[in-house]
Amino acid sequence: MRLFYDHLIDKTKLVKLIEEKGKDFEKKIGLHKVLDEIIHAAVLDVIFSHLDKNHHKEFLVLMHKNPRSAELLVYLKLKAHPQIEDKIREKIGDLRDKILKEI
Amino acid sequence: MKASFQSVLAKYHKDAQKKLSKHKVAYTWLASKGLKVNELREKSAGLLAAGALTGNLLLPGNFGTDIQKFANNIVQNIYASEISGESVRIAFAAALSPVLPSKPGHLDADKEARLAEIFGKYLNIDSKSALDGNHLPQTYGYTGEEQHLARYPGDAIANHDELQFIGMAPGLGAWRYFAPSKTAMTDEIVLMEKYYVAIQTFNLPEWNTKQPYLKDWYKFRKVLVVNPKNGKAAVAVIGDAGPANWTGKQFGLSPELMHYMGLDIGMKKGEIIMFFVDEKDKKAPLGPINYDNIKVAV
Repeated sequence: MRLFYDHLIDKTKLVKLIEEKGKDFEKKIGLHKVLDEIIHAAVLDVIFSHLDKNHHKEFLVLMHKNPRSAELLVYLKLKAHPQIEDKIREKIGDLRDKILKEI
Repeated sequence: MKASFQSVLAKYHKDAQKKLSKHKVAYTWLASKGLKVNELREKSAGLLAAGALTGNLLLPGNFGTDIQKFANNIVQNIYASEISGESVRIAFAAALSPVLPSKPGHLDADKEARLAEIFGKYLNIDSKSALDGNHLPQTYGYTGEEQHLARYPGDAIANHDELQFIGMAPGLGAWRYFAPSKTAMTDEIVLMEKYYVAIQTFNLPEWNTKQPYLKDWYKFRKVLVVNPKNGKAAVAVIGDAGPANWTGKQFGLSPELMHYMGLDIGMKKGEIIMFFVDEKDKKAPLGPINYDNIKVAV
């Protein structure tokens, strides 16, 4: 399932590594899930770091109602940071590079 | 020796959860809904259907257990007020971003339809990638800067009131003059030259076989130009043909348009979206979109 921020994430190299290193189908699925959860938690960390605490619950309700909605980024642009997309891109890019360095 | 991929991912997974747990308000809310931090993405959908939002924490008393009504109400509360001015521009740029590919290029019909919807919502302009069966050679591409065009025989750079240092194009625009003489000039024609674009009409598949129909159809046709990076948009006319294919650019903008779009810096090259303006039901005045006049319910 695609989420509202997926177009900002470039995980091509990590996905390729999983396909190369995963021993079997089950293992690969497991690794893809873990990678997605790492990214998801990191994206939420970026969002909550820029969004006022008073809006955290609002945002979570909206996200869980329609996690694919482009309006979520509109909401974040207005309430968290005008360049929230760049912040997410940058954070996930750094995270990807760190992971790749350690493997 | 480098660690195994699995153990590295496990370490980062743990780190990410730890960082997230520092946001106490969000963490507490997630916990109250029975959501574990290590499976957030997986559980990001269908929660309403599963009833996971029906806790007392957020449920207003008068909504009882009507989950869908409650959720709609929350969204309406958050999105209650209209936005205007700069907020519209920012929201507009944010709404475009998920629709566009990472680099300019061909957009499929679905994407173009979604963009037209967004233009209607945020700019209040009816626009189309194809009008009367004609499709722009490209709707999302790179633009460069054009020079001022001669508007009438004898026109000179000194007669143009802005950005004179850019100079005049050595030749006439693709449709020759905007007006037959200086005395025939109108305020509208002044705006047409100020806000003109060049498109690669020569790349249209039927350009050479459907003349003079295509030339007449494209001549000074109104278009909507959008800089997706900053949400700046303007209504302009097609005033020239170009740039050449070898430039790697698909559009050219008048000096005034480049300046307004914030693209007249550095290499003077940037991404734009261009659609035809459909004025069948609504007029669209030439020039930059004034966001102060736009109110959008978000």
